[in-house]
Amino acid sequence: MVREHRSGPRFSERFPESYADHGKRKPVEDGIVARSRRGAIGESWWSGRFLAVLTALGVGGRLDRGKTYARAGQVTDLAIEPGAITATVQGSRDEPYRARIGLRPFADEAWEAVLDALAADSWYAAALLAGEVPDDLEDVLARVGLSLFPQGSAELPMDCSCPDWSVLCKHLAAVAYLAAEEFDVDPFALLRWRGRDRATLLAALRDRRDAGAGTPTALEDLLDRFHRPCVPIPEPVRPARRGPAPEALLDELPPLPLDGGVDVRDVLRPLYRRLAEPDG
Amino acid sequence: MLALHALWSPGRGVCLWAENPDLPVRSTSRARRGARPHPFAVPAERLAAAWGLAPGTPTGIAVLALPSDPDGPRDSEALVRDESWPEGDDPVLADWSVPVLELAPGAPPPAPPARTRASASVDHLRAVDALAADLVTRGRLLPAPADDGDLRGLTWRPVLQGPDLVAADTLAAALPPVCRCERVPGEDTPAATAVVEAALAAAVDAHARARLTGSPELAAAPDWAHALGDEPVLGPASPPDALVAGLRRWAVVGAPHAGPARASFRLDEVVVDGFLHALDDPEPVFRLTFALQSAQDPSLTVDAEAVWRDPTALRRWLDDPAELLLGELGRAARIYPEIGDALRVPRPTGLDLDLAGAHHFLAHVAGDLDRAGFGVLLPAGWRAGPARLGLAGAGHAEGPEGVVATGARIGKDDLVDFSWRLTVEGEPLSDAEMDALVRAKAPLVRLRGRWVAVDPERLRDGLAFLAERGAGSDHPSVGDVLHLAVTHPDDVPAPLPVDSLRLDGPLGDLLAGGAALEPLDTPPGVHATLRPYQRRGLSWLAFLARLGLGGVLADDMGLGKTLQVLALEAHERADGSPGPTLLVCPTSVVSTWRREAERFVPHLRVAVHHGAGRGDPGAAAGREFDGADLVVTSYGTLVRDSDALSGLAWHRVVLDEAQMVKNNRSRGAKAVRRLDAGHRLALTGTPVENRLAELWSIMDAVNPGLLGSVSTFRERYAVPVERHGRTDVADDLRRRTRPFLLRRLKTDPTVVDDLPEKIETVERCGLTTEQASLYRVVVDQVLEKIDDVQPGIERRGRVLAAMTKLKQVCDHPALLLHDGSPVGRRSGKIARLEEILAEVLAAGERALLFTQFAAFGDMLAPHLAARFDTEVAWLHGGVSRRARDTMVERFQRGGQEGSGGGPPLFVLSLRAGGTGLTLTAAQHVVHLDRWWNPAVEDQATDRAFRIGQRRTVGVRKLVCAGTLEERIDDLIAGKRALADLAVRDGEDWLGDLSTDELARVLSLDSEPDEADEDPEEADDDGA
Repeated sequence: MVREHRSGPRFSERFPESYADHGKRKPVEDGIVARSRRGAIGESWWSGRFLAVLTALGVGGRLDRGKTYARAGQVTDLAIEPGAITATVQGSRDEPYRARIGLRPFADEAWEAVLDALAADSWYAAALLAGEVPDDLEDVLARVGLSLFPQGSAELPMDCSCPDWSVLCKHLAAVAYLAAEEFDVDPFALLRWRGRDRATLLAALRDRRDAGAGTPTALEDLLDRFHRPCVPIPEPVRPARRGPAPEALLDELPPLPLDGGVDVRDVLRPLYRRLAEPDG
Repeated sequence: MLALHALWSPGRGVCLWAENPDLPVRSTSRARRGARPHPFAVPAERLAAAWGLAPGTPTGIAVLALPSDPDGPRDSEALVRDESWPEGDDPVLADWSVPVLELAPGAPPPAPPARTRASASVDHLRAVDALAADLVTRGRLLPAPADDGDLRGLTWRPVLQGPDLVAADTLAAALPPVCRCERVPGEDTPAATAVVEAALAAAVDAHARARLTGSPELAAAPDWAHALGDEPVLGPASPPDALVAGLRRWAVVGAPHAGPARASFRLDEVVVDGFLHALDDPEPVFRLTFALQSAQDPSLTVDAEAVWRDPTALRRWLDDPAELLLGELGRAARIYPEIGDALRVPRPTGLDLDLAGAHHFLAHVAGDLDRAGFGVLLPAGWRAGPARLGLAGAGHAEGPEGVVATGARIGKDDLVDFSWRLTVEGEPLSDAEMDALVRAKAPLVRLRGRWVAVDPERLRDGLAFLAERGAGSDHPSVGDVLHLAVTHPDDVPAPLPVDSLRLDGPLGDLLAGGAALEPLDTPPGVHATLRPYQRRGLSWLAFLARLGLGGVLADDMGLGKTLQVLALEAHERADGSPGPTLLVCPTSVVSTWRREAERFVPHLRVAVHHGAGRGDPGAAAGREFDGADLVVTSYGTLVRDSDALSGLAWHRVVLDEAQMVKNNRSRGAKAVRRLDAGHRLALTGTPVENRLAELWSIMDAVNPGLLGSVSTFRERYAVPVERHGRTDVADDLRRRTRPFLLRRLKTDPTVVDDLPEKIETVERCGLTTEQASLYRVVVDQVLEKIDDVQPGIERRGRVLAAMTKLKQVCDHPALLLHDGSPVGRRSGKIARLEEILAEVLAAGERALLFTQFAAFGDMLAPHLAARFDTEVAWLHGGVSRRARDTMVERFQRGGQEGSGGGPPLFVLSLRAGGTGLTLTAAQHVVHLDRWWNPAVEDQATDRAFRIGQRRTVGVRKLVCAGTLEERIDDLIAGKRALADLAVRDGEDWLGDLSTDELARVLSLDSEPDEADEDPEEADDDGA
């Protein structure tokens, strides 16, 4: 049975964590182990921002418990998909819990506006491709009335199949930490959560870029330079260079024995040496 | 003038056509459907001639879509008409049927004939062909199954990888649209890439086949291979199926790819209107261009502009060229945030930089980017990172008269008109360059056409130094400048390292090494003719002496160091006496010095202060050695009489065999340092420049403090050179010591022509006390007994027996005593011989040692072998012929370049080895004892000096001073009254001398050497 947590401070007041938290977690094989061994999780500013949203709701020890869970590898099957982060968490019961952190994806029209803005300024794509969420990406989103990060708990529906009624159980906290680590290494994951995966996003940017770029290819569009080279013709004859042996390419090829055991490469070698002598 | 065009017809290959300006401009055809005939295309029958081709070239008709007005095609840009025709509105594409020449498959457009104009279409398809020919030459092609219809043949396909792929893509981007404007019913206009690919493939196939056809290589190949040459299509049975399948697999290897790529950054100075900015233009503009560079082949780079221009073409070799470039740029922006600013556009291509920006990039960013794995491309000569700043000094010495002085006039305290300049990477900056650097907003200077960045702080220090000691205001003395030249950079009181010091005139020659100085004439009173290199040496010595700088004359042995020093003394005494010179040498050559001085400079007053009979040193010094010009003493005596000798103000101290003071803590070295002298000179024949500790000691003995303390010297030079093999440090040391060290080798080109084929010297040795007393006993005995004997055979016999005994005593007492006692230090001659051989062996050379006493050879060979820890051959009458041949062969072979091995020393008995042998591996011959007939000695000398000897041979004759040996030598050399007797064979003539004459010839006229000679050894014992 899945219970929906409705956030509110009174919940946690009414159900102190010690009440719900009992029993020891069961060890998991092949769980997702947090890379960070101690201290804070979420090194980048963007995963920090994400966690800060949770911290604003959470209460003390629960987040730390989640960190311990994440480091112990209790989480399996973490998936960051448009609209939801889902994971399986092994708790103290035999049956692992299903945890889900939802987030409303941007609408298609909103994405179009975002992509237009990103395509006009290649800094954003460059930073994302270099593994970083540009710090002014939020400004771009703000201009079209969007926000990359959830603005509060209302935007962040979370549920877990565990019996803990507190606002943020340690299982969800563990999932959040692991998601933050994923955001650290792949900032595109944050955008995927918001509705566009990396490939789609880049393809859309590429289309926008190509649309305004390049040389037209249809003859009709080239009438003003019909007899002209569109870029300078490269130097026609290169000076003879002392390169590798003329048959060097043959050495890169797999053997090709014919009937009788003759290797085609050996047949070709003398021919290549002849080819190296320019036309008389 | 005809305009010539080429195009690629998908069905036919390269086709040629032409426009004729004299034909009507407008079409008369009113046809509304299909293609109208091109009104001013050259007709088919005239086309071959127009192109300069053979009349039989096939022709056809091609329908071309050309930019047109309603009633005719537009002129191409290559077409020039006498009268221009007004053009209408925007042109539209319309089809025209045009006569074309159909070239053979793969054939390129020919070079346009004279008096025609070829359009870019011709140039382009010729460029495609040139690339194809180059691909074939470099073997960048593979056979592939021909896939045209049912015919089973083979074809050559280009292999486009790396730079070739980019070249092909660039050709595709450049393809003029007219090249692909043929209308083929039912087919789309081909893309430029497809046209270039097809044209390239056809041309590669054609070139390859042409090169193979008729070649012996193809004739020797199996049948199927002929499908790659003159027979494009074989019968249905060939090529074999396995081959076809295998070649398909090969095609994967040959598929276009450029491998992984990274971002690279190219900094250029922006050229405006074809000109670089003038040097004093305050703001040159630079551009940093973004590009993708193949990680495997760094020569392959594609500018970002090309990435954006044709996004599809590059995707053939990189999955996502744009994403790759952007990601790389994003990564680079972390190192160089300015890149981030340049990315604020849809398609970033680069970054414009001002001078300050370019400086920042060159000085700091380029190195960081490079270390982070990005490519950084700078124009040739530009360099990343701050350039090395230094100082260069230049000046010339003013003589007293204000004119450039000759070396002989310049004194130590004369002032040098000196100026400093900044150097960048060792190159001095011109005034204009300095000005530009000072005025520029960033310390970036254009130097010989390239830009270099300098560290602003270092620049400021350098400019402050220049302001303080700027041009014209600095007048150091000659001594200061020379001192600066040898001072280690760390010790120079300047904020930047001194790269170079250039002085005009003789001071410059001195800095460059003394050999460049103007030679001095042989001074008056010198009874010898100085060879040219000796006159240069004299000039160097005299110049150093005037400057009060010590010198090390380290000429190869045999080049006449003694003569050069004596000539220097004579030169300085031409106008009065500057005071006495103290010459310190090993005991064994004390008498040699006296003799040589008497022989070469007879007017020089020489005093020998040595030996037991030298008298009271204090008194002698008090009398200033009775006005002697040259006082010769030994190291041993110097140590003993140190107090007396250091109380005198010497004009000069000369240290002969200066390696004797290599241990600077020895008593000898300490006594030398105590001496008060206006000038110090060291002589050595060993290659001191390679023995750094020795070099320091000797340099410090003649120029105290010049090379710093021994510990800093060890740290700066000895350890890096000897332990780490740093040749740059060795060069630096050589440069610094060059003014003070003159070493010429016998093999130097400047010396070798001056040298005779052999240099003969008589080396005088002392006798030990034992030798002297033995000698006296023998003389007394013989004179006593001979008085009674009448002249005749018996008397002669007795005299000769006595002479033999005396010569044996001169060699070694044990020869006479037959006591088999050890060699020890009982012979002055052996002591001198060891000094000579030490030099020979240090130079890696070989020597022949001749003696007339087999017993001496028996004693000497093992002694020398032990003394020098080397093999010593010994040839005497008892050696078998075969053993002798082996000895000779090993000695000769060992002398060959790089062979090593073989005995470097060869002792020969005069009788057994004096004739018949060829021993040209030896550069030195030592005659251990005199043979009265010089012809016999010459014959022995000729063993080394025969055809095949290309080096100067040094011949030394060892003579004990004051003995019979010396007197005989005088007789022979001096050609006096008795000289004619010497030419008679043997020693008979001596037997006929009267007793008085005999007494004069035989008696000893010399003090024995002292046995406590070597100051080194004395100290070593104490240590």
